[in-house]
Formats: sequence, structure tokens, C-alpha cells
Amino acid sequence: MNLLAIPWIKAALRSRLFPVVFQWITVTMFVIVLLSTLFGVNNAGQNFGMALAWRIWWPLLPLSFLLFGRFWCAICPFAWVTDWIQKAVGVRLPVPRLLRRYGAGMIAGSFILLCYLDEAWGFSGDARKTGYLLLALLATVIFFGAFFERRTFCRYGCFVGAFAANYSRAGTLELRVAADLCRDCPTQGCYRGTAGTAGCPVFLLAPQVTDSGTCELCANCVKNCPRDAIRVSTRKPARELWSIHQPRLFDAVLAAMVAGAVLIEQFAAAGGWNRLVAAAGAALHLDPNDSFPLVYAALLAMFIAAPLLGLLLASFVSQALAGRVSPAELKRNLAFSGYAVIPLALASHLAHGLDRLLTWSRSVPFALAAMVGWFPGSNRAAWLPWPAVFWIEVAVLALGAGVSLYVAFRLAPRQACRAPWAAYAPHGILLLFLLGANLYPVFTMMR
Amino acid sequence: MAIAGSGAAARGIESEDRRGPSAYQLAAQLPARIRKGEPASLVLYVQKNDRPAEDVAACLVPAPSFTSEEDAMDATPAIGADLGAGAEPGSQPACVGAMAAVRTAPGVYQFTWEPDTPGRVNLRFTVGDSQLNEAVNVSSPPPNPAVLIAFVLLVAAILGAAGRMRRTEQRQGDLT
Repeated sequence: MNLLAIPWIKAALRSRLFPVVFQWITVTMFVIVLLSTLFGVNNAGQNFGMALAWRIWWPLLPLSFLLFGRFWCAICPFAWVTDWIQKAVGVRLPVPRLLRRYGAGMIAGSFILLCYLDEAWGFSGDARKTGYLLLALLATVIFFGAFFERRTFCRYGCFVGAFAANYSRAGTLELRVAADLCRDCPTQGCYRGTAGTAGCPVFLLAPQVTDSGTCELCANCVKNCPRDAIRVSTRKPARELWSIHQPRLFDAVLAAMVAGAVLIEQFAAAGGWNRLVAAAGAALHLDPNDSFPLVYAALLAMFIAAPLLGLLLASFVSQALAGRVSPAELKRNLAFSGYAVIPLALASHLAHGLDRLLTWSRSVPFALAAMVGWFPGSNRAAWLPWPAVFWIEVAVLALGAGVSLYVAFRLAPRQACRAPWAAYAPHGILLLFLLGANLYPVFTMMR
Repeated sequence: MAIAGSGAAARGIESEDRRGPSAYQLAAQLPARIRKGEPASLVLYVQKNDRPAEDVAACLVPAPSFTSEEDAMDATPAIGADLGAGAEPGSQPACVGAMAAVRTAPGVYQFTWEPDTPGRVNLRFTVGDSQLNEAVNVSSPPPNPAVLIAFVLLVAAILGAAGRMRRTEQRQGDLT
């Protein structure tokens, strides 16, 4: 359904206040979070900024991509900072070739670094470290905004992009154009912009948008299009994954990598984690207490590599069963099958976030009260009892695995049209294995 | 673990727990305020029959950081030092600094932390059957000024360089 066919939605998206109003809210929140983490009490449960960032925003982020595509990126305070700095002092240099070519690697690298810092150095539990991290990110954003055109950082450097693109592909909202209306467009306003509204901040020409991985749904193109060719539509979740036109190997790699990074967070919160750390320390001949950052780096590398290697193995077996083993075929199979991992990775991320949201986010109002010196009493109780959270997590994981299996099933004929079941079986087994790996820490916590 | 003295003034406290010849007399030298995440000197003197004890030793211990997720779950009001209810084992099997009036090698003792009113925690030192309880004010350390200064300088340098480049470009544009 084209949402722009609904008059009030169309009017809202064409308004100059969209998405500025949302940006004002997020910028205000960001300022509160920054000041609170830098100068407030250094306690994750009592610091309002910490509670807002790690108990509300971080768990809700994957859900927002599922529901609204990359709309968060349009209203992200860093996007506002970029625009503002650009207006004030921006040089607007073109994006360097190096960044265009290896920006995806920068996104993946920064995401891994954040995952590492969170667990190895306890960033999400320490207000000051969170504050310093925000300052570092802010300085990076200011640098990119000051020197490069449009939202170069958002497109080529932001760690959120590591999962935002893939989760948005599984999302329920898409922006596309009626391409026939765009032929011989005299203005290309969607890309170039008009006098009143800037062009696409993430360098997209609307007729070339074929997936939802990059578009931020900022609606600049809706405002700029002289022919009303833009469509913003709802769709079945994950449909884009099995109808992807040009699968990219890097998307597959990112999907598997994120699945591993989220999995290690689940394990870190579960029983048996200390044994795992001790075993890794023993294997590396390191004291897990004194050298935890090193031991954790090894574990993170292992958790990230495992799904990747699993995917590679499944693709190899899949092609071998189909009787077509060649580097090119293997690469193609790998690229396609990576998209099947996305729903399960998203479900794992959501389940992990729900754990925080449904148990710990209750500290938010108490932290707000503590900020003004009022202590209304204990806030130990979670919103929901732990067994309820447990079953919700299990249901989310099962649903994600089900969708992943279905996506793999739909993709199989495109990988090996003569032997779709041979193409499907290894990936199906891999997905079930990943489901089991995700369920294990959840059940351990339940015990 | 790093051990260092706290900047706050230390004060001496003695236990009133003298229950016969087998009991220990405990005295502590504590800072007036400890800052969460920063090392602090909590000095415990242990005596028996008015003589330094032979079989236990006091030592310097750092105040715990308590920055884990578990700590985050426990939001009992205690500004800046949510140390959680119940025992947080502070056993120091290898204390590095034996203190004055204690002649033996480093030994083992325990202390627990209990939230009191906002901004205070109760420290409970236990040696054998003897205990010493004392409330200590706690607060959060301020942000590292070096980080803040570095951020301001970096941003100023970025904005200054970009502004200069833009002015140069505009001037060149005007000339052409």
C-alpha cells in the first residue's frame, strides 16, 4: 500500500517540519544523554542518560529498522549535527575513492570495535566511558560534516550501518519510484535537490533505489520530485530478502558477522560464561582476569568467524550437492544465502534487546527521579517476570528462525535451479544450528 | 589491582566488639568519602588482647568499581555507588601492603558493602567473630578533564581548518 496516497501522510512528509521535528527531539535527548553520562552519577541503573541510551534506545533500534526501515538514520542527532556543521563551515569535498571502496569495511570495523569495547571494557555499564565514546563519535561526525559532502559519515562510516542496512531490508517499509515517470526527468531533484530542500543525503538517485538498505526515508526526494513519482509503501516483512536483485557478498558477510557479535553478547549474559572465558584463557595461556580484554578479543573473533565459516561451508556443500563447484558459483551462493541469515540475526538482536527492555528499562523513570534528587524507593522489579521474558525471547527467536528458513527456501532455486533441495538443505541445517546456539544461552539463563 | 590513597581525609574508627579473649579488636582508617570506580584506602588494623594479631593482617584495598550489568540491575538509591545489597566478597588473599602495627605477612579478611541512605554505604569488616561497621559517603568521580579538553581542542581544530578552507575556496571563486 502506497502511504503517500493517504493525504495527511503525504502532507506530513512534504512539510518542511518533517523530519526536523523528530530531529529536535532526538538532539535534545542526545544532549541530555551526553551531559548525564559525563557529569551524572556513574551508575548504569541510576544514570538517566545511561538508562535512556542502553535500556531504551539500543534495544529499540533493531525494532525500529524492522518497522520503519532506516528512518532512525534520518532523525539521528548525528545527521542533524552533520547538516548543521555543513551549513556553518562545510567544505563539501567529494567522498574519497578510498572511502567509497572500503567504507563498508569501516562500518564493519567500527561495529566490531564497539562490540569489543562494550564487553571488554564495560562501556554500557560505565557512564563516563559511554560519555567518552559519545564524544569520540561526535568529533568523528563533526570531522566528516566539516570536510565531506552530504552525510558521508552516515553512508560510509557509522557503525549502526552494520546492521541497519540488513535489518531494513527485512523491514516492513520501502521507498521506491514509478520508474516510468522518471524518464527524461529534467531536474533529478531527488539527487540534486531544489532551492528549498537538499538532495538525497546518502547519495541516492531515486530511480536507482532497488533495496531498502541505504535509503533513510528522510522524504527529501518526496519534497523534491516534480512528477510525484515517489512511493512509500508497506510490505511483507523479509520479502525483499528473497526477491533481492543484486545480492552483495558484503551484505552476507555482515549478516553472519552481526549474528556472531549478538550471539556472544547473549553468551556473556548467560551462565557458563566464566567457564568459557577460563577455557579460552587456558587455551591462550593467559590469565582471564588480568588479560580479559585479550581473551575477549579472541572469543569475539571466534564468535564472529564461526557463522561466517558455517555459511561458507554450507554454501560449499550446497554447490557440491548441486554438482556446480566453482569460485564464482560459490561466491554467488554465499551472497544469496547470507540474506537468509538476516531474519535470525535480527530476531537474536531483538531477543537480546527485549531482555534489557523488559527487565531493566524500569530503571528509566527512577533514574529520571534520581537526577532531580528524588528517590521514590526500590526499582528492582522488572516490567515482566523473568519467565515471561524468557518465553517472549524464545518465541522471537523461533519466529526469526522460521522466517530465515523460509527465505532460504525461496532463495534456493535462484542458487541452484536444478537441485533446489540440495541448495536448501545445508543452509537449513546451518540456520537450525544457529537457532540452537541462540537458544542455549537463553535456556541457561532460565535455569 | 591498583592500590592508591584517596584524596579525602582519612578517619579512624574502632570496633566496640570486644567479647572476650578470643575476639579481635578492629580499627579502621577510612576516607571521609570514596568515589565510585576510583581506588581508595580502606585500612583495617586487627589486634587481639591489645596486641597486633599474629594470624590476620590488614592491608590496603581498592574500592570496587561495580560497573557491571549486574550492578546496573540493582538501582537501590545510593548516589554514585550502587554497591548492591548483601555480601560483595572483598577477600584479599594476596594483599600487597601490610600496615603499621601488624607484624605478620599479608593474610585474608572480608568486608561487605550494604547500601544505606542515598550517597552512603555501610562497610562491614569481619575478622573471625568480630565485626566493624561504618558508613561511608560515596560519590561519582568527575569526567577526566584531559578528555574534555582534548575534545574541545579537536573540534576547534576541525572547525577552524574547515572554515579556513571554505573561505579560501570562496575567495578563489570570487577571483575567477
